[in-house]
Amino acid sequence: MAMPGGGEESWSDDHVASPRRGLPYRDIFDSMPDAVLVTDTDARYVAANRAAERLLGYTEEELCALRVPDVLVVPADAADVTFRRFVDEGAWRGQLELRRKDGTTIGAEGRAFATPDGLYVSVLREVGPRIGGLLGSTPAELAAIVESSNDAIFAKTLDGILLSWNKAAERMYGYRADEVIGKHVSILAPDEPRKEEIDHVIMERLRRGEDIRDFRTKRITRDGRLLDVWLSISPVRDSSGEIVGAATIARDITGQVALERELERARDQLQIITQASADGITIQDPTGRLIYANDAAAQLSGFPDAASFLAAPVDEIVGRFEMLAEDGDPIEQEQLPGRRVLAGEPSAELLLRVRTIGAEVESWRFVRSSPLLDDGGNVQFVVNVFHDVTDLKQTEEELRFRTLLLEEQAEASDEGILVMDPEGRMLSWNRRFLQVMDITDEMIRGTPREELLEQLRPSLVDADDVIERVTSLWDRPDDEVRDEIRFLDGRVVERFSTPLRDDAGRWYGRVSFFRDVTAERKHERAQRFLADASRELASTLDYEATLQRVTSLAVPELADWCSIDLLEPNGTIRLIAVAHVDPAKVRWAQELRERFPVDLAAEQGVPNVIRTGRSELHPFVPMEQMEAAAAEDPDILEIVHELDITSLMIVPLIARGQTLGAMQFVWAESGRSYDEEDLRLAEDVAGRAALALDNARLYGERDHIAQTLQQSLLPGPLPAIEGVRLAARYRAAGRGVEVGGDFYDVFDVGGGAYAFVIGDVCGKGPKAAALMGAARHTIRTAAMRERKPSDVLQTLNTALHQRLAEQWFCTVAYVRMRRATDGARLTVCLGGHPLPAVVRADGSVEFVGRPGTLLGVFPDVELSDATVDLRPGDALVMFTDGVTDEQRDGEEFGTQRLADVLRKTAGRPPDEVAGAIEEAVVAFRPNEPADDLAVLVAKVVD
Amino acid sequence: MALDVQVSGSDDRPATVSVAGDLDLSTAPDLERTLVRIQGEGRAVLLDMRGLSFMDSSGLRVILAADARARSNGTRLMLVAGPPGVQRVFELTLLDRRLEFVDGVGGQEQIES
Repeated sequence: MAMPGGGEESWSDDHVASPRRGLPYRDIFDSMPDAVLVTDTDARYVAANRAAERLLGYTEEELCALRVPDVLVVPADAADVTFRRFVDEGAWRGQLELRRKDGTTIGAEGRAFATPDGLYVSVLREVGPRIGGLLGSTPAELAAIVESSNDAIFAKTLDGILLSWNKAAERMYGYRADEVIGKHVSILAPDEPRKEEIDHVIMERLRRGEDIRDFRTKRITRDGRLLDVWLSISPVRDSSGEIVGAATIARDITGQVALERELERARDQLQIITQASADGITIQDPTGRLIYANDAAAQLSGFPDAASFLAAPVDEIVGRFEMLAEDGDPIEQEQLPGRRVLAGEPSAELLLRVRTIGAEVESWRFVRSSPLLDDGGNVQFVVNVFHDVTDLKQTEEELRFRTLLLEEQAEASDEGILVMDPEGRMLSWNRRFLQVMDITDEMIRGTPREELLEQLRPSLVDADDVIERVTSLWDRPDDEVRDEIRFLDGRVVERFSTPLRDDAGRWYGRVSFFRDVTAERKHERAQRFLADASRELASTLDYEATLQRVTSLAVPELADWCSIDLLEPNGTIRLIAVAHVDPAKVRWAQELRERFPVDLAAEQGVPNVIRTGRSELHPFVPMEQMEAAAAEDPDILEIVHELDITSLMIVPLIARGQTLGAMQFVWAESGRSYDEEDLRLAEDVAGRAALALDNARLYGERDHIAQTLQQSLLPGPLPAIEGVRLAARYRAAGRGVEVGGDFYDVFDVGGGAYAFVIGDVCGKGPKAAALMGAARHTIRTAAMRERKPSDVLQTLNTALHQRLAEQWFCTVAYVRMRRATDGARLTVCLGGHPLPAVVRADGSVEFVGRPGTLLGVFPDVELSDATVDLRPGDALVMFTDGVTDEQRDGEEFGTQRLADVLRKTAGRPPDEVAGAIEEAVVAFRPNEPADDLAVLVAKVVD
Repeated sequence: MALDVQVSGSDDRPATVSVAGDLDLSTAPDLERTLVRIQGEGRAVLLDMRGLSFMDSSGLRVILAADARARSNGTRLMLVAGPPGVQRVFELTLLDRRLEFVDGVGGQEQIES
């Protein structure tokens, strides 16, 4: 059978695009001669065809408001039970009684089956009039009924001879009554393999009095057409009850069978096609109710398959998934394409995000809904196809995300980015570009590049050069360039420009990156200045020349003008250094200073900074203010205009708490300004300059003092002691002119005894040297009066304590040595000094004496005398902490290492012992030693 | 080697001055400035020397000066001993008997009590 609107092949066509061709459900449905009623699992009617409407007298709409029990003539609960059983068994066949809309009842028979998609379809037909039931009728009535029947009705003898033939039979088979009556019924049967056998069986059953119902077979018409027929054959009895013949009710079901077959195939194909489809397909009835869904649609909605999906109550379905608009907002029911089609739109589409609740799965679906219209143009079904575009969407999303990311990166970039097309048009730029170049979007949008450059010109340093560098690149598309663009306000922008080419080498234009390196360059400049200045300051003690060079280092990068004033001993302020790139200006400044001496009481400026020791920072110096200050003197006013100061800072030169002067940085013609960071740099430099200045002055002072003290402090020749040989080492750390704090002394105290002294005065410089001299002198004097070493050091302590501020002290080891017959006796006293060592002839080493309080700090000290005997070959080794404190990588030389060295010196002359110690210390740290070093060795000869 | 000087403790309470590194001629002024400032505010000082790797007589001088300032203005100077090499300087000079050494852990409590 040809399908309405198209051939079979249309099934394999895009059934979605042309649903009316592809899904002839409704047409088929309605053209079926049998009543077809579709119910859901709840026994509710959801569809009824025309035949069903005719059978029951209800419209389909009315039926859809009813349930099976409303129509079935059995107690309602029994109807439900029946239906449930049917649902469980999946198929039903039989007879039942139905109540029509007008209240009459009607017998029907047929079958019902469950569809795979969860619906139940009943195909019913009114039970044909039974011959037996008609027996009570008069022959006339009977004849009238038979004649008027829509079904072919004919009677035959048990031999098969036709006895009657009604109008419907004439229509159906094409034979007139007079043509067939008396003929054998076999003329109606086509030739079939088992034709006679079947006829025989039928006749046998009739003879036994059995009805033959629902017999489907083939019949042939007069003109040779094959018919599918439905037969109901009943035996006809005579008044005595004997079976004399048979009455046949025949109905042409050719169309129905074909339709059923087609429907079956259509259903199968639909099933195959839709189930095979990854797209979800659903069909809604005009009320919006879902009557069909494939597995994909079910899974999309969170169900394992279509059957469970369609069987699920609406509430449950709704809770399984949600449909969101593209932007993620919930979507209104009315917006769904199916609803829109039901509302009358010819077709509707929508991109949906379907989120299966609980499964964390989200898919993108392109939903297209198309209506199936009936002949009257009314929507009968809506087919919704949920095309899975998740992959596509994800790719698109990813692309969009990447693009967004790129844009964000470009925007978030610390670099300004400008893209030009091959024609040199500025295509795109980020906000940072505008910031870095200090231009507005309006300035650049639609502006030719030449014009933009001209707009920038007034703010550029070396504008001609910059513009030349930029424009020359336009003719060299292949060139990559990195350079700097400097602005008059101090900004420095690094430009990196590179051609844009694709993989094939096609040129797309140029991209340039602009990075604000102002802070970096400033920091670099500052560091360079600091390093250069520090080197200068350390290079010489000629501080005036040094300071002049330091000011020169500051211009022009850190100042247009830089100068240093020093506070003179008489309280005046003297300009000792001034720098400007133009030497003429330097001379002019010096002349100015002579003409207009500094007002020492000025509340601002250099005198104030020197007086208070506090820096001044004037980021912006308003010309009006300068003019106002100079208003009374036209000469000064002229100078003010000439100087054109825009910003200045003055920092004090402070060393050891004393303000020595001030350093001034001025921006003038370059129009820049100083900030807090600049001020910190200036203070740093000033601090270093002050220290250098202080040192230089100090060195001058030291030179003088050191020379006078040298004679008395540096050890003279050691005395000759009978039976004892002496050796000493002395080395001052640091510069040659600097007198260290270590000292030693050996002298005769009378009575055959000698004093061995080694000491360390804390600190360096003149004051330490003076203290050392005093200590040495005091010890010598006291040693003449006191025998006990502890008494000598007690005297020294008292003398120092009375003379000195408390933090000044010295440590002293005092050893009195008296020759004995076999060696010597030592009395050792230590005032805060490291214990001396005794190296025995056998190489053993011991440290002798007991620690005592350092000297000069406390009025009372704890000192003790310890006695040690030396035998021939033993040596006393006294030293200062310059030996043991010597450091390398955070490790001290230490007494242990000293003992190791001494052990190896056993038996060697004292000079070699002293030499070994010095060598070991030097080897321990080959650099210049950090501290003074003094060693005194006394060895008893053997 | 440099000296790291860290000060902790609020303004009205004893200050803990932690020194780390080398306390010698070149770095002693750094510590001295810090101590002068804090003691100038009339605050007691807990000098934590556990981080010191070296100390010479210059360091000793700074500590003695601080001790003198503390005694003259009625505040306290407490010391948390450094490593043995550093502590040896105090032992040799018997300053371990003259200065107030406290436990590193309990020092803050002692100074507040």
